[in-house]
Amino acid sequence: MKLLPEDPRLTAYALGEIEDQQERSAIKSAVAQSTELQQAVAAIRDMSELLTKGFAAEPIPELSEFEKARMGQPTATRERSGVSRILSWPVLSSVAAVLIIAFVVLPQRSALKEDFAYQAEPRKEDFADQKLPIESLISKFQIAEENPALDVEIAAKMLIESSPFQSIARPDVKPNEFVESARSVTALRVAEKQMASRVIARERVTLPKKADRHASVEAYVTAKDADMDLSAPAKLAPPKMPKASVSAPASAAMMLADHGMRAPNQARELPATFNTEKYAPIEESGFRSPLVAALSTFSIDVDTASYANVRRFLNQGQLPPADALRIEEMINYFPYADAAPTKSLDEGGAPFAVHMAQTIAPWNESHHLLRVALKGYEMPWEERPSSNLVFLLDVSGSMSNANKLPLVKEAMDLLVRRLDGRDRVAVVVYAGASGLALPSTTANNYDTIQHAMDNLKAGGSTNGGAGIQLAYKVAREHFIDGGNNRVILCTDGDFNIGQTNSGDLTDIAEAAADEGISLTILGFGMGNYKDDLLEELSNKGKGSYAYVDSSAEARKVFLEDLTGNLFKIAKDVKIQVEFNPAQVNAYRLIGYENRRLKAEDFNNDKKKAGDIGPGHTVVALYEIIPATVDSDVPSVDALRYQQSVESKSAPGEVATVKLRYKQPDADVSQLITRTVSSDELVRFDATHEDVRFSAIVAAFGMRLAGSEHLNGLSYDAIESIAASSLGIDPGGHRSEFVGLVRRARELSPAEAPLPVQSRGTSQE
Amino acid sequence: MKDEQRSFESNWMRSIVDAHAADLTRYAASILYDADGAKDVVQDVFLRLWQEPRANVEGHVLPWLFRVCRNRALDVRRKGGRMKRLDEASAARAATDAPGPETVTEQQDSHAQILQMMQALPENQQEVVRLKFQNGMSYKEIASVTELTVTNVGFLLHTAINTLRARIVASGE
Repeated sequence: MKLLPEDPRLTAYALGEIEDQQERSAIKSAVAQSTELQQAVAAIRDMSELLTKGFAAEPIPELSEFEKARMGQPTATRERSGVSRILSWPVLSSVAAVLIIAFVVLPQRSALKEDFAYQAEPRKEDFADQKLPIESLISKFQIAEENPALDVEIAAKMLIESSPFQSIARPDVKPNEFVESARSVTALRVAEKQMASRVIARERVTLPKKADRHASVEAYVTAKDADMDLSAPAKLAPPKMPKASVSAPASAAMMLADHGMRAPNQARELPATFNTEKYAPIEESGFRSPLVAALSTFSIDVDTASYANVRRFLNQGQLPPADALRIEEMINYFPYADAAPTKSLDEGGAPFAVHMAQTIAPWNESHHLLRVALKGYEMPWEERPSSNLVFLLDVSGSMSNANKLPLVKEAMDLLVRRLDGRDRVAVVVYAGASGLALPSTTANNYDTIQHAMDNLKAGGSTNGGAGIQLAYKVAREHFIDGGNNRVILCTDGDFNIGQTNSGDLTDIAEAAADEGISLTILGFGMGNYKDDLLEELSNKGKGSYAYVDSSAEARKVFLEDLTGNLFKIAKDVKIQVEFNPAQVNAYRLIGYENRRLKAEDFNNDKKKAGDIGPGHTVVALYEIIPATVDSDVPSVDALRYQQSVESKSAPGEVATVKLRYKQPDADVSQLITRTVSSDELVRFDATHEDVRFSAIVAAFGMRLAGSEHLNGLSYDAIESIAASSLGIDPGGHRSEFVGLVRRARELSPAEAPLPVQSRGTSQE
Repeated sequence: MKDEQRSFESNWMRSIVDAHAADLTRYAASILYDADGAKDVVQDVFLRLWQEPRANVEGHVLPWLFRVCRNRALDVRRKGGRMKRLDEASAARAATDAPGPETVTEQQDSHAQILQMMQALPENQQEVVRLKFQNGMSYKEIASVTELTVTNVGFLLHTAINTLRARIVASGE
């Protein structure tokens, strides 16, 4: 048998994949006769070993018990609700967007009515035949939402086919209407103000490209809006709204969506782009001289939402808008190995450890980076305070979706399994009437609790007011001194306060907080409907407020961050850094743009700031231009009269980092002070992988935002630095990040190098 | 009796989840570049397994799971307009973009290097390499997962290994 090294059979042989015995012995003897083949076989086996080891080193995703339990279930508990699933279907996206546009116009009805009135006139007849164009669509949406199992495509087709608009798209429709309908989008902005400021997951909806070159109308809609408000305002809409005036803009815009198929092909003048996904503008902070501003003060931020949002954009094939990039949230998304305090809180240990590191900025060799990391004490579960938990569950009809009440029950079940005889659990439900579904029971009576949970069913309308009073009453009756007394409200935001007005409610929450009962609010699959009320409640109730908009978020809230969300170890954590002008020419804080505090707020204990929970990591990065490097940052002459008693020449000190925090139940803050010395600077490639990784995440954020400070660092360089800083990477988050960088490069129009700044390199 | 059957099924299911869920998630993530999305895909895969008569899958559960997982992940990627296929052109570019100086000098670890090189291969080659060396599948099993012929799988693996060898030799010089 003649065999060449290029023959695929040789690889198969080397890997033991030749099944036919005759063939195998033929190859074997051919190999035995040729040293070239022997070398090839050895090389293939070496490569095989290398690959096997290489792959074995790749982190394996960690699945929690909760996730595995979900995966093993015979029925679906869906991640997203029906509507948001439908939103992922392109044409339907447009339909949904249009519906939302139509709804959001509601509050503006009086203003817009006139605009549309004349357009609506000639079309009234069309709709008269069709009966209830919008309502029928809404009901279809509701069907889709309530039957998560319903196949998305079928639902989508059903919607399209039943759409009354299909038959009315006619060439004689005035182009103007498109403009008008498009303009109505601006009404969203007004309506948005009524929605809460907090936006977690947003769904960006783009009309089909086919529509028209000029008609690039993009509607950004928050996923949560779509999720809930489609049904909520729908209930309100019909009585308030003359049908025709809803229909006109809706149908006009609807035709935009349909346009590629049947609308006339005339050029349409449309405003170029609409962007209703709204972000507060982020102004990147520039360098400041310590002579001008010696102090940099900010509140910590443990949020991570921005990274998830950026990931969503990139995975959808779009570069995120610059204002969506909150770099501190991107950095803090990742777990870091910074050591937590080892001394327990009971023994008087500090609630968090402070770590400082200095290195060279990977994007500018003449600049330094100062990394300040806080790591919360990782409270062992056994050390937790005894808990007196009262679940206040919304069991109204709207909670019956798979991503609401069943998810609540599942999550509660997981929580209760981790509690024991020291802890108490009670369940109060509210719907048409409120009631005690489970009297306060010690958590070791698992079967009793389980039984009560099994019997919970969704149905009826909501009366949260009576429920909350009852929940607090139960919590008060079983109060644990020095324990974690907490009411946990689970709702989808359809929070009907009944007889009680909202002022009374927040008073109740506030009074209870003073007695030591906190309030945690978990919003399930919710939109912004009563967001402001819930947020005010949780603020007054000294508690946290989290959205659980998906099972992924539920996993995070109830399992990964359970202790972090249920307990807090320090509150009002502020950081103030004083830079030494003798060492520092200029500095700038990367990220935290919306967390800045006034210098004088640092010592003001009345000024609130961020909380930190067990195990949380908070990282802040400063970019520093050392005094030895010239810069064009505006400065002033040294002050003549400001020599305070405490000021002294401190050779080698770069900065002093001060932290203030309060114990969870204290009103007076405590101070931690650290100095940073210039001889602690470590080369970038020699520094810890966590330092490198957090720096490169910042670089990625700056690259996406088009920051001039990045000095032209390319995506490729970012990717390779990130890939070399993976560390152990539990959960695979960092590897995922590397993939995102690559994705961003692919999406970027021909990696155009940013203008290289002269400042950094020219002074060398 | 019915309950017993149910709980028996349940235990069987649980053992399968315990054995393969993490591998499947990693595999789906290699297609989607999205860890959470991958978990959703895997949940869907197990849902399908519930619906499948057990006799149909008994004995070859592993390739069955991977095949369904692959199709589902590709589906999600297609529908979501997610990752572009890493086509030949971008693969070529990725190959010529040598890692930055920081990496090369600091590359203490040949494992990371080999994975990086692997990612420069065409996607279909990456896929069979991953199934072979990460999941330890035979040619036959890989063929069943990817719906290719065994010969084709052999050819792709052979080409991939030769390319990687050549690159390692080149990078060592």
